[in-house]
Amino acid sequence: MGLTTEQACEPSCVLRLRDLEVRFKSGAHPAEALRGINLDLRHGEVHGLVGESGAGKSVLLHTVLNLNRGAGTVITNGEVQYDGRNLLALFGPEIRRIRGAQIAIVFQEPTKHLNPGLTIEEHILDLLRYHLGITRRPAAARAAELLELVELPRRVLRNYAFELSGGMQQRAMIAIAIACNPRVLLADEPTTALDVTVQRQILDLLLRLRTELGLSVLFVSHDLGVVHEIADRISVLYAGKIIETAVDVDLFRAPLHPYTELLLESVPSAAMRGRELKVIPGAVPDATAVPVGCSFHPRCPIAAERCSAEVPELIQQGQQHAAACFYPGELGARLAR
Amino acid sequence: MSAFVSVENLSQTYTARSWLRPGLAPTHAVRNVSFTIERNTVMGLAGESGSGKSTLARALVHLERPTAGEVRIGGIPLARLSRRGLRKARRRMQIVFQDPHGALNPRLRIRHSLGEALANAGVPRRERAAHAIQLLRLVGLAPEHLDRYPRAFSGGQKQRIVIARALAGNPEFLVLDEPVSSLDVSIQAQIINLLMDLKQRLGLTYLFISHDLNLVSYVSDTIGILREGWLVEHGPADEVLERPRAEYTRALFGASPSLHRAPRALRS
Repeated sequence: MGLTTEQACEPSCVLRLRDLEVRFKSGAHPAEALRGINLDLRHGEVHGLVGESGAGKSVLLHTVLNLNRGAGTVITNGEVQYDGRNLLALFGPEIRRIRGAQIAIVFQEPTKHLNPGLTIEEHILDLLRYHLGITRRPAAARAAELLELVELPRRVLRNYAFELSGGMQQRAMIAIAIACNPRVLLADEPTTALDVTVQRQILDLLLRLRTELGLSVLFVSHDLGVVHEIADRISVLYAGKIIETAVDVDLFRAPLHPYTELLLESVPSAAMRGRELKVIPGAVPDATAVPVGCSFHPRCPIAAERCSAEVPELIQQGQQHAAACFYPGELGARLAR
Repeated sequence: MSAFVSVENLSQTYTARSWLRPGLAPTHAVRNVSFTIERNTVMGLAGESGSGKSTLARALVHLERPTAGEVRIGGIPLARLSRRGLRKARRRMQIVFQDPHGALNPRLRIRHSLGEALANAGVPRRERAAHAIQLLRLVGLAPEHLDRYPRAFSGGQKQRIVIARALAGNPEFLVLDEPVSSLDVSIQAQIINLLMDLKQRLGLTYLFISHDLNLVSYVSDTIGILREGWLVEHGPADEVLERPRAEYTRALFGASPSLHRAPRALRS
């Protein structure tokens, strides 16, 4: 099973997800949040992960950090390979040494994830002491440096999260995330709650940090436009599976999976004025009742018999383009006719 | 003077009174805003959070009486109406809010949610069921949905029901305050198409509020941009998109992510 990449993962990969499956026990039917994810995060790249709500975007990020551990309620299979180890096999202090230090995460709502009783500086000092054993004074110097890096005035160190605007909170959260010089940054819709002008600043900041610090970024968003702005490569997630992966340009110019294609055409813009938007009939399937065969087939305009029986694998279609569809590119060809 | 909706020098100011902190400066949420909307057209209103979009929406249909200025809808000056007159006039104008989950009473079956609206619209009791079915059909839902509770519906379906309810009194003017912002991309398109279709079929006029500039560009005949309560830009959509007058409009559109922009790799 899995990704049929002939050239197994190149050595330049920092993070590899292999056949990742996550199931949550809920009532009679378990919710299948992730159903066999294969993904390579290359060194220094921004990898965009798009999908609608319930596609499994956040679960995926949480699983990378091995945070999905309910007592008997979560079943996880597969591997998260990092630095020669499977993170899913690590426990207690072993995984805590990696979380926040080597793999850091930035969330959508900073107020929810920052401790309201700690100043920004205390957040940073805690991290530096725990992970790197740095004492207070040098840590304070490092904290000041970090704030400069995210373009915040130094006084913010003394502030609590609630005293800051949304954009400043997100900058502070990024400063905390990069405090220990992580190799991988996970970003879970970090700009969704922000206004466009502030969003732009945060995206620019992330791109700059990527270059300056050599970060590899896994960037999750529901917003195709945002992902288009920031990502080098993009994976499209649907019902817990990656259905298409491509370099940014290829995905937007020549999408192969019907879902990607329809999704792109359903986005309103000035260029679409006067034309009716493409509509994907129906709704995203519930994780407790994912359709058999290709999970998209009930909504797919070109679904054939085969699609409701067999599961299409994610297959390389070109140099850097893979799609999980028996008829890749078919929809576009039909529409063009 | 033939404009269907006309707004003149509308201002909404909030004064916080506190004996602990006397002399608090008043908040000017909307400042001296004027515009008109022609019948059966869409005015898009965009701006960042806190720019006064929702305050303007509420003041426009007099959910809150504005501090100053005049609103006329279909020629009727709302400020001169009594409470009862205003309630009657509201049948002709409705608001659809962003969050459909908060807009429907969770303990009422859809039949009753729509029934209340129909009762307010003066539809006799025995005709309400038939009307409710018509309304559901209008928004693409089926009669069997009548006896379900809101929890049985997805976000997109709930928004359809909210739209159906807004249409109960045969309104002519709808204020749509971020009507698709809480919905997924593939569902957004369904609702936008529905709204544009209803506008054509029923001859509706819209004030379409959104922070999403791409969406506003798509739906609008005219576009207004709010900033800190001021209407800094207003004009036909084509003009605003191609030759914005305000520097701020340009900055806003420049910052807005777009699928149609060349990818970053090619830009730099």
